[in-house]
Amino acid sequence: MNGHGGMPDDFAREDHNLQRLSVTTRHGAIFVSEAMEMESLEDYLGPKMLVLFDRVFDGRPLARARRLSPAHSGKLEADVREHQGSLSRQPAARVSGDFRPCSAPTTRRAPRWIPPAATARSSRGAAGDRAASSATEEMASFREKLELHDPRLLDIVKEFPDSATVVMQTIWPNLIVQQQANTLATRQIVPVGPEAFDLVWTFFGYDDDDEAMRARRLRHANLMGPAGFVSLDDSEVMDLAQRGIHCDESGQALVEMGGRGTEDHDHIVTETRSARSTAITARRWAYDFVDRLAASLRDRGRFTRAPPNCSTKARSRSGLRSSRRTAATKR
Amino acid sequence: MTRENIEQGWALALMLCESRAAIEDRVHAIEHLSLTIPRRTRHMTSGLRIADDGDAWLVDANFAMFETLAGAQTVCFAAGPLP
Repeated sequence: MNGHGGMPDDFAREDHNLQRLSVTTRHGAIFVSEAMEMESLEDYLGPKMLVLFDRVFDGRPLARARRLSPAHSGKLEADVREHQGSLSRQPAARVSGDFRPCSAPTTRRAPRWIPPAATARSSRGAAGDRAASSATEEMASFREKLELHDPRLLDIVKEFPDSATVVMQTIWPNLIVQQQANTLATRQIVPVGPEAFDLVWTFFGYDDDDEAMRARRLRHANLMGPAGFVSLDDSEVMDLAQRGIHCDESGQALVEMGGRGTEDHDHIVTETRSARSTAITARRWAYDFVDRLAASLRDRGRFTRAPPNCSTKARSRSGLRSSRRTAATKR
Repeated sequence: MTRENIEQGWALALMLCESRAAIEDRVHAIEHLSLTIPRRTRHMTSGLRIADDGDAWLVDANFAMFETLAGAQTVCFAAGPLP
């Protein structure tokens, strides 16, 4: 002020611009990167992935939901790519027959430092295709006769040329394009530290959607999001897995799901079995947790029966709560 | 619906139950299918507001929900509606 203070005389504003970013657009989707020299989006995705991206990404924003997940962000990326979540715990997929262990995921080996893009796809079975098979017989949670009271949740209208009802396409580790039934969305992972991340869903539809389809997309959004039938358990399991890793900080945890390659497969049986890996990690934490809890309560003389929310069976085996067992205990 | 979605005019709800049957599906999924970490929850409501809407009632209330995982501090899981 009045010739005093402020920046040095040799300060050049043009030398301190905002960081320039590399911007790419495709069908209205905007990609921004700090890397100025990189291959094109089309080259990165490759022909297989490009087709799947173009398949759904031609819409307008509808709404956005957000949730915080207490786990390292890599878990969700791996969770989606391996499609293990659907098999191990997703109630709606088990009810609807949306998920078949013999459907085809596609993966693509990534060049150099760029994380691999990958897609997991599954198709809805025909009416009689929901029966237990050799691939589902080891899924403790698979129930053939489970039916929805309100079937409109899975009133799926075919809108793409192929027969896939679930397509999860991981573009970057922090970006997933999802189609499940008639709900379309992007999932953006925003790490907020080593043990937590925000997961932002942006749901969208198409300009030419009629009211019935718009209502259907909003209804099918019940499958996903912070309270989604499909995704509700995800953060719980990832939280358990994170705790499982933490209970032995001097050691290491390693899970090699599906081996070491990234080649395409026409099945996901490996993921069916690898779903147990997450469960094992979670169970490891649960064993430790329940034992310590029970010991603590006994020491204080405050508990002479099962800890709250844990049936005897659950307490003695894994500590993971099945509400059915809890309800039975209460009765 | 979240405050963000209401302010943006977006129709998406965290949960959308358009019938009693849909509510029953929700309850069944939570009670019988979901995998959850053992916890205690406390749901508080206040300022109940009931308005006549023809052949239906519009019911609104303030709420706060707390959850406590064993061995962890109690946290506010959700609260609303915001002023």
